[in-house]
Amino acid sequence: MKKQTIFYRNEKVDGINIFYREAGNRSNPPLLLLNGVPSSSSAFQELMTDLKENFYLVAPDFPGFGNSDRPDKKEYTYTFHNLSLTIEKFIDKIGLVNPGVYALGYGGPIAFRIVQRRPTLFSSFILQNSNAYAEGLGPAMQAAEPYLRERNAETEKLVTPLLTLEGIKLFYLSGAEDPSRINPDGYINSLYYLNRPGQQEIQLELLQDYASNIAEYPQWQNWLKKQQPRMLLVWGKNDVFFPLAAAEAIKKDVPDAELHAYNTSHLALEEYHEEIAERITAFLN
Amino acid sequence: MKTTSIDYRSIKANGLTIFYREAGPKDAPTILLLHGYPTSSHMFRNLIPLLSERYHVVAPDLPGFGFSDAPPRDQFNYTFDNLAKTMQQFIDGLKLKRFAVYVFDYGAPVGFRLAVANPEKITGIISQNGNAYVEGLSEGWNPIQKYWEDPSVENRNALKAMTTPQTTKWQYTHGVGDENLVAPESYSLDQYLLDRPGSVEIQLDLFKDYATNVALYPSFQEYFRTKQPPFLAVWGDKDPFFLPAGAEAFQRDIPGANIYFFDTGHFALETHVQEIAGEILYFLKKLPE
Repeated sequence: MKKQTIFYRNEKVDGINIFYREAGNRSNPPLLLLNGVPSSSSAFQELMTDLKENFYLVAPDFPGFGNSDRPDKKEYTYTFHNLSLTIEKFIDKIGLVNPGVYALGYGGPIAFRIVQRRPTLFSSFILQNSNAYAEGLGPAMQAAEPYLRERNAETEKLVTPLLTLEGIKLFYLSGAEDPSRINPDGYINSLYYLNRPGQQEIQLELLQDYASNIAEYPQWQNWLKKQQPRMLLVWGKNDVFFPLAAAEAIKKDVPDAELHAYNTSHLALEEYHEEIAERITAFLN
Repeated sequence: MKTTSIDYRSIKANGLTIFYREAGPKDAPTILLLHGYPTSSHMFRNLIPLLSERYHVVAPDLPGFGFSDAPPRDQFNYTFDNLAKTMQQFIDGLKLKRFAVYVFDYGAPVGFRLAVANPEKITGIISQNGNAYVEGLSEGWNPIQKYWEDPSVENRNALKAMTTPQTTKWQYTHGVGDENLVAPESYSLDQYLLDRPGSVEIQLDLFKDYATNVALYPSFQEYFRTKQPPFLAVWGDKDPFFLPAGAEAFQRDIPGANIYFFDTGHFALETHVQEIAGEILYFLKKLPE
């Protein structure tokens, strides 16, 4: 019987309440888990259950996501730069020292931005369906490209469907090996959070700011080439946002990176958390 | 893919699409998990993986709950008899011949109806805050009992307070020593589903019909006395709805019943899933096939 418990905690960072999941013994190797859209740290619930006996796990919700505060955009500018500053402060505030980082989707740009400022903060990198290369932008990202270039009524029409139930399901189900293995709790809860007042606007702002990540890709690539971080790539290979090409591009620049592809969607943990947990355990030990 | 994965399926029963979670080897002994208000099989998300290595686990959503159909109240009669009828067709549809049943809250009057109608199918009963005795009802039932006694519009509407986000969260946190143990997705998912159009009226119908459960308590108790099913009670002792006296009462009719209390509230699985799973696994191991 597994004995470690998952705690649901809160920490103030610059006046903003950051909700986080915490599990495992603090004396175990630390691992920070950074989620993406459309969910929150809830995406890591099962992975944390798999890993909590052997690691110390911390999974925050970014401002505007899940159960963290979601200040009005007049009070908090929803950019990847700002999220990375908040999360960097959060890491220090709860006293994580040289954690490994597991970054999914939006979590990748946040981790890459943090290491531009503090190159040795993370002891190792685990990337899952997250991107740093133009060739890693899948069809769903390419379709959003006019919106990333310019926000107007016409281009908004390209991306607002992503925030509906059908759009949310793309992350969970598009490319899934067996749809009957995808827990509806995940996408229904994501919909609940995205339907809260003001939430759509926050997500639209942030999505448009993804353009700033693409502009920084070359910088992150140089960092990867120069730094050669310890790296594990675990990938849902049928992802319509960041397909396997995104992982292969990283591996070209970091040849020692270990790559494992799974026959599933963007949210690979939904179907493959146990296999991925085994890879993480082997990689971090 | 691992064999411990959970499948999310559906099947037709009583004219409705019934959603259910299924896990574990199909040739292993079956345990049927019946949820309560205001939740769904979601409440078993952490328990299922702990049972499914050795058991075939089946957890349906009742009509009007979770991801099962929730037809408007003029198209489906929201009574516990009708929920039980739907579950009868569900177990028949899945061809479950013998099973242990875990009952919680609303799952108890549904599960006990099934047990009375199919005593030969029941290998054992696990009640987690699933009541069958008047002494188990707390003062938390007063507004509902008032509605039973006087089914006025005013008394009905007063019960809408039980469907608000504040009350839903309170159901999860009341009696829990450390609120940091309660996952927010538990009450947020419940609330999303309660906020659907028509959902509150469905729940008010079921509050009203809960009176039929109390009327059936003596026949549930007679079933316990005459059939002596192997029985385990695992009970959050700070539950604001079902008192510890309701758990202890089972022993009166089933002297061999094992009763365990946990220092937590109504949704005991949110804080004590490992401990409760341990008791269940020990209990299931001793059951006849």
